[in-house]
Amino acid sequence: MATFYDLSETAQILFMAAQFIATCMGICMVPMVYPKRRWLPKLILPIGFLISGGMLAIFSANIRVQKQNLPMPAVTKWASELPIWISILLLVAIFGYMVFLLVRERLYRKSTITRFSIKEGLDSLSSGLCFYEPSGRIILSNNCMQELCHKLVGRDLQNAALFWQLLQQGETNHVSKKPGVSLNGVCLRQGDTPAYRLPDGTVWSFAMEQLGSICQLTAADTTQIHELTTRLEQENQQLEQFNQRLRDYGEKADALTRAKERLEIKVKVHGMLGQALLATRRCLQDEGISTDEAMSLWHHSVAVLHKEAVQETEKPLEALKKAAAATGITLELKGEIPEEAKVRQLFLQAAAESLTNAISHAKAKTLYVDFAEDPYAYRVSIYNDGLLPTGPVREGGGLSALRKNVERIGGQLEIKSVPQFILTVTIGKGGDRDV
Amino acid sequence: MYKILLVEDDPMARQLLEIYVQSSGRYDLVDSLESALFAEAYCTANKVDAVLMDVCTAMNASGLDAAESIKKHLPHIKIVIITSQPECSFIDRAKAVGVDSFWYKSATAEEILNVLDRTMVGESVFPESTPVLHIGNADSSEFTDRELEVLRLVVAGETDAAIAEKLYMSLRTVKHHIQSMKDKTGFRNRTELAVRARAKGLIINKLQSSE
Repeated sequence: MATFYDLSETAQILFMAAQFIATCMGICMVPMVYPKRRWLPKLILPIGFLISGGMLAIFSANIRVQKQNLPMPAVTKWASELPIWISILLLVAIFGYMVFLLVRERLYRKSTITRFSIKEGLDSLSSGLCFYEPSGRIILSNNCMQELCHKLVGRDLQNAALFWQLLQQGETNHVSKKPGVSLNGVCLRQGDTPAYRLPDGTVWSFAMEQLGSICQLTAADTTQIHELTTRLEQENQQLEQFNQRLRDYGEKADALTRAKERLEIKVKVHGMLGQALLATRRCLQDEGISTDEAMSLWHHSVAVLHKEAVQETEKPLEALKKAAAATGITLELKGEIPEEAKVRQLFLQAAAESLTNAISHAKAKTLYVDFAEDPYAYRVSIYNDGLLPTGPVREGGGLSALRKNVERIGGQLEIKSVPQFILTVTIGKGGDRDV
Repeated sequence: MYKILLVEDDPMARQLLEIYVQSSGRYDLVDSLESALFAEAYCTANKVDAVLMDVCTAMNASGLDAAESIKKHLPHIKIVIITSQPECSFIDRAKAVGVDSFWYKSATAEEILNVLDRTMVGESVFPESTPVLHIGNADSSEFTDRELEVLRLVVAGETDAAIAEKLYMSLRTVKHHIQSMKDKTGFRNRTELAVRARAKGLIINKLQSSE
């Protein structure tokens, strides 16, 4: 039966090299095997590499003894005289078992979530993610966040808390005049959800969340959202301009409509003048038209034309005074009516409504209208000298409509019935009309 | 003779109507006012049999609002609304508030007096329909009621979102109505549609209304 001695020198060297590799593999696999729960690999693996290590030592000693003609120890002699197939079988078994353990470990890692798979998973995210302690020490950070930090700051992410502070403050290289760390890119938004446009044109939004004692920093690619939002804002601005032009046009269209109306009237008046001329001729020719009839037609035409020449729209307060006079009510005005058209319109509506109520309910003789103004609001108070209300005032259609119009622009309508009826309208000044 | 109150803000138109009324021999013009704001007060304090009133009066006061109020408190007074605007909602609103008659200012003196005469004897005179206006390739009669409501707010310069909120519609429905009107008229965009509708007088928004 062949033994180790019967092998050629080359075969002996190769055999010992294989034993050496098996021994090293076994030692290296110990950290992989020992944390696991399975006890069999923990038992077999050390036995395996001890056997291969032992065989290596024995055969090395054998070769040295032979070469140096030294006396051979008994164990060495015994081992050397063992059939070589036993040693080969042992070595193959050890290698085979180690390969089996390696393959199983690889399959296990592919099918089970481990700490490595968590990192692998995070690194495959297209968003940036970083978990860190409040002091800034990083617990776990993915490649994307590292890359972002590099693009923004020019160095690796080492202190996440400082990085977040920089992001919030928006200190970019374009605007920072202070020495120290500042960010590359354009700050689009500061504060709790800062956003930056990187030098490569992408837009990233950052956010930080406290998860117990751990901080989570996230970064999302919002390039497309930002572009769409910008485009939408521009289109909205354009639309608002169009809408404003429409509103302006509406104002001018009134004038156009009045001009058209005026033209139609003039056409009628032209017809009336023609009739007057014909009537005059017939009158002069004694054809049955009296002078008075002809003159009447001229008077009518001239009266209408005169209105065009003297076309002065009545001032609003004059219209109120005239209306009051026509209804037999004396109007006592105090203060100045505001110039602002919308406010003036509402105050006149209030006065008109009060005039109606003074006549129909209070049987008043005098209506008092007090205009007042302070730095924040315009006010009108209206009361009369008529009968006092017998109970709370019930708001009819006119007062309800007035209230609606006043409140629509943020004003206030107050009606007191005790000790006398007073209607007060207050409208704030400026763009925000809340009183 | 019946006592007539005239409410008309344009001086020339007012003068013309005064002439029509006074020269008829059947009516006594008690007064003429520029603004519908004071119409009810006048009617309450004075004897008035009928009011001849425009829709758009001075100080942005709506003749239709005044008519509604007068009809509520002084139902015996006849109200005849006259207007030069072919605005689509005026006739419907006039009927809703109880106006007795409705006619257009473009009518001759005889026609206006005829309407007044018929109203005073209890007849209710209304045009058969709003004058049909040509808006682009379409007639105003081709628009649905909902489309006209949307168009009114477009003319007022409101955004689609604001229109949807005010009319309790979805944004998509608003866009659909606007597109439908554009398709009917052949206009390229909503601005053109709004401008033409306003220019033709199909939509008039500038009224102080309780609606």
